[in-house]
Amino acid sequence: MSAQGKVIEATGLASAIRIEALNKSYPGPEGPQPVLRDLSLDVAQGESVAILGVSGTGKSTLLNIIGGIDAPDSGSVCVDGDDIGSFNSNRLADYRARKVGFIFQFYNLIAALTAFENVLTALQANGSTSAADERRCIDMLHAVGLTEKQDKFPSQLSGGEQQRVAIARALVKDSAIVLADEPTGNLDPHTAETVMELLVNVTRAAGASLVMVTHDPHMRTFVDRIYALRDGRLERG
Amino acid sequence: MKRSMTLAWAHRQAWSMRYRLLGVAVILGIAFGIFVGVYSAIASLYQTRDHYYDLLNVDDLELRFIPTDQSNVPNFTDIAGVSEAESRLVSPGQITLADGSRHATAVVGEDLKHRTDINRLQVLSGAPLSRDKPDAVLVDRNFARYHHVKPGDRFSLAMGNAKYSLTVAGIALSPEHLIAPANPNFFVPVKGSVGVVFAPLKLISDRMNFPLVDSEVLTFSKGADPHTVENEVRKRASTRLDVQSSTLLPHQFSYLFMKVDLGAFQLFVPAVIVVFLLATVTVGLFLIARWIAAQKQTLGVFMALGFHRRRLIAAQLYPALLIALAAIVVGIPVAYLVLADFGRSYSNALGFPKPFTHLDPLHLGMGIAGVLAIVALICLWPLSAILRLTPQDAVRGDSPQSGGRAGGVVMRALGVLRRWPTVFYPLRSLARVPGVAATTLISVGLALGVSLSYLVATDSFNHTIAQNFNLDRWNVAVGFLVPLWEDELGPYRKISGVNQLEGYLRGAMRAEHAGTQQPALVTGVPPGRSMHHITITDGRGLKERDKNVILLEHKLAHQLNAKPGDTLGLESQGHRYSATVIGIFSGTIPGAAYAPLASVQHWLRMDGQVTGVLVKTHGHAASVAKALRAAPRVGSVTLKNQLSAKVQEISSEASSIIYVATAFSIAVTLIILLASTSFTVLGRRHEYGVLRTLGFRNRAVGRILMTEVTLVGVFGLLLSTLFAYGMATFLIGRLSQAWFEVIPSFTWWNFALIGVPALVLFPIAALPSLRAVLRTRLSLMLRDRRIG
Repeated sequence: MSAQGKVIEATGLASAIRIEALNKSYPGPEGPQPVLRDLSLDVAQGESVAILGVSGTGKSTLLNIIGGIDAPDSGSVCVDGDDIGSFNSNRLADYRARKVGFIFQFYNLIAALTAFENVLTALQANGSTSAADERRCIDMLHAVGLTEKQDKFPSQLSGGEQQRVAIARALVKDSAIVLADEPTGNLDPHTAETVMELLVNVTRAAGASLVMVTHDPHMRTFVDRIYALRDGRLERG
Repeated sequence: MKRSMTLAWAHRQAWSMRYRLLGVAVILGIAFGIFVGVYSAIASLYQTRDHYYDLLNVDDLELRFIPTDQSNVPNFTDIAGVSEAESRLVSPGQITLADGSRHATAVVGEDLKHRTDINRLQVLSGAPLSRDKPDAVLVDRNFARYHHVKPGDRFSLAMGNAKYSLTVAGIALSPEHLIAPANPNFFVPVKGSVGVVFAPLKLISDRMNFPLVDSEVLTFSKGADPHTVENEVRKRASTRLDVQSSTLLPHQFSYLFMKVDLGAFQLFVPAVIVVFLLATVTVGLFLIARWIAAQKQTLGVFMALGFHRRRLIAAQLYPALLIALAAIVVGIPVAYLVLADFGRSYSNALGFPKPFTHLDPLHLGMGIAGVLAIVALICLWPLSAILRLTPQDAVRGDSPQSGGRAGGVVMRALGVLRRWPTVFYPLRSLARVPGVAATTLISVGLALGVSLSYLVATDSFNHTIAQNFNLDRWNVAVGFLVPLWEDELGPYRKISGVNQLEGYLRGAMRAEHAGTQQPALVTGVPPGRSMHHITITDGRGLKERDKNVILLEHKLAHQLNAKPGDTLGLESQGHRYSATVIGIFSGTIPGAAYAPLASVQHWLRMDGQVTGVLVKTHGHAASVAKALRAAPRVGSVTLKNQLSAKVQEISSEASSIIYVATAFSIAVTLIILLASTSFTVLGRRHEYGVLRTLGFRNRAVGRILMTEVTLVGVFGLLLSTLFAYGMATFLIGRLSQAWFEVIPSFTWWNFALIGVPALVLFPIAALPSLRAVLRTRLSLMLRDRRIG
């Protein structure tokens, strides 16, 4: 057990994610408002971690920084041994294409594409895809239980089904890490539980590390470790 | 509280879309500016003309008769309706300037002893005419400017068989010649090629020992009926004079040319404006509809909160008013630009005095009313559609699967391209909302089609002029100082370079049909073999052995309500004849008619005589023309290629409006592309953010975006050819009605002139949106949430 904000010892497995002394603030009417303060975190390969906090505590900011969508003010983020802080925009894009799977509260599916095509898009970041890629997509949709719905558009799917498509999209490319931002925030409790079980199982089966942010304390039962984000610092929960 | 909230929201919405709304305002403003500018220019030109007519007391009627002693001319001032009358001599001549150049001229001999106020000359430089200096003359300003003639210059004048050595006393502006005098063979003002010399009548009468006159000019009292007075004057004149023609002011060359030409613009410009407005309203509706559609959910929330529809409409009228104001602010400088450009270039082309240019209040008011009406239409129409929904339906927002079964089929069919995201994604995005995609394509197609149709119309117009001249087999047209007998043409045939020579006779007559009388300029040509090409639009042309038949120019035929087969009455010098209308032709000279030479000789009582010849040359036409000018009794010599160029120069005034409209329509196209890509791309900014999150590099995202814009542009360009065909046909029809029969000419060059820049512009138009997509922080792009 460590003091507040310090790196938590790894479980002995290699680190998938290593964050050290991360700081991030946003401009405010009275000067910069710190959101993350000297934050450190270590996530092992295959480990699942939940970060709890109320709205506005910086949970999504942390996730965005790990995913390369946002940049910290200071500190380092290493994923699979690479310090992503040194990446330019193209390398960050490649990093997201190969190593990161995103799942959002509001799914962020592309409305003009079917479920199958949304999953396939995750493999197209670096160019065109092949028949083998398409088979993988079908397999992944099968894994999330949406084989019969692969030709439906997002507007034709329920919230839970859309989130399952998002999970399939996040995992179809053998991502090293899966970042889930309030994945069940928009679902009813029953569907939320189903989706969480699916997310955790599929992630575990793929050997990916899962970092999830949520405001729902019930999610603690699905993950290996849980933290609380308060005042920009992580506290083991 | 509620009112200020909706207003504050509307203001914020408008501010967030300010550039796109400004785009709509600019498009509207340009249309407004062109409308107000052109009509103000036309009004200014007419007002300038009327100003000079009033200032210089232009005559209301000119009577022409066989030259006679002035004492034979009856008194006309006691006729009811006649204010003043003055006799004068108008005679063709030829000037030889100090540099040896020869030019046709009309000599106006003014009776200074009995000078009235009619057709007062405004001396621009030098001194007026003086009885004490009969060989000091005034020269009209157009000729003087063109040939650098100034007071004190000396020149020689040949008139009939007499020669005069004269001095330029001054340069004058005459109300009869506000525009450059016409080439006597063709109804075309030709700066510098025909001069007008104003001389004391004494100059000629001294040689003749009596004052010779052949023209009487009269002014009418206010309120007098011109036709009644004209008839009385002709009746009185015919008791002592051999009357050849009487010309009321509306039929005099200056007045008539401006009326026909500007009247043609007034017929043609609305077509240009309508076409422009069609694109403007469609595009404005499209852009505003998308803007309002983007607020659909917010409007639904307001309705759900209990805000009355009236308040929401009123709030939306605020940005509508801003758009209208911006359009007017943009449009007024455009109007001034068009006014100045059109007014100046028109008056330059015609030798007209500098017009007093100002925006016409009537058309300014009409333009403003039009802008307000259009803005109200394009803002309220889409808004009313939303406000008719229930709050819940409005909040739900767009149904993502629109287009019905056909749309679904297309969506699925496109799935075959899913392995290639650069092409697949843009096509899918377009197919997903087919209504929006179709409207975008139609807007782009219309905007480009407008430009293309204008170019096709102009090219067809110029091509027809060139083609008509090419069909003429003559190179040089000659007008004689006096009518010649046909057997006197031998020496002219012998001039080196003359291949073929054909005489013609031209004279003024009055034509009558169905109770309507019109002056007609009748030209007699050898039937069936004339070197002059006549474009027949109805009926047939002249054939050998035709006798007592006539071809009418289409505007004259329309005025007389005559068609092929009708019998026309003709009157000349008090004698009446009849002729059968066998055809209608398209020509530039109003009141023109063609008939067999022998028939016209008989009607004008000039059997065996000609007033000019058409010459076909071999070798250099210019040198033949030079030799002809030096020949005796030759008045005017006109080269066909110079005349063609002159007609095209004048027609360029029509073209200039079109080119202005074309330039603006291309600007409109760019604005449409900017605005529609902005709406399309930025409206799906969130989706592009998802792609970047999934690892698509900036270049890949850029390729997808550019592909979509290019696809819209290419399809829009293809669609534009259809629109252009329809609009060009409409414009060409109006041109034919206004001027002469225009032959449509669609060439690949027109398409390339619009298509190539457009294909370059499309990706450029997408750059601002692309920059916005790539530079916005990803975390912000992904935050875009739906309501409910």
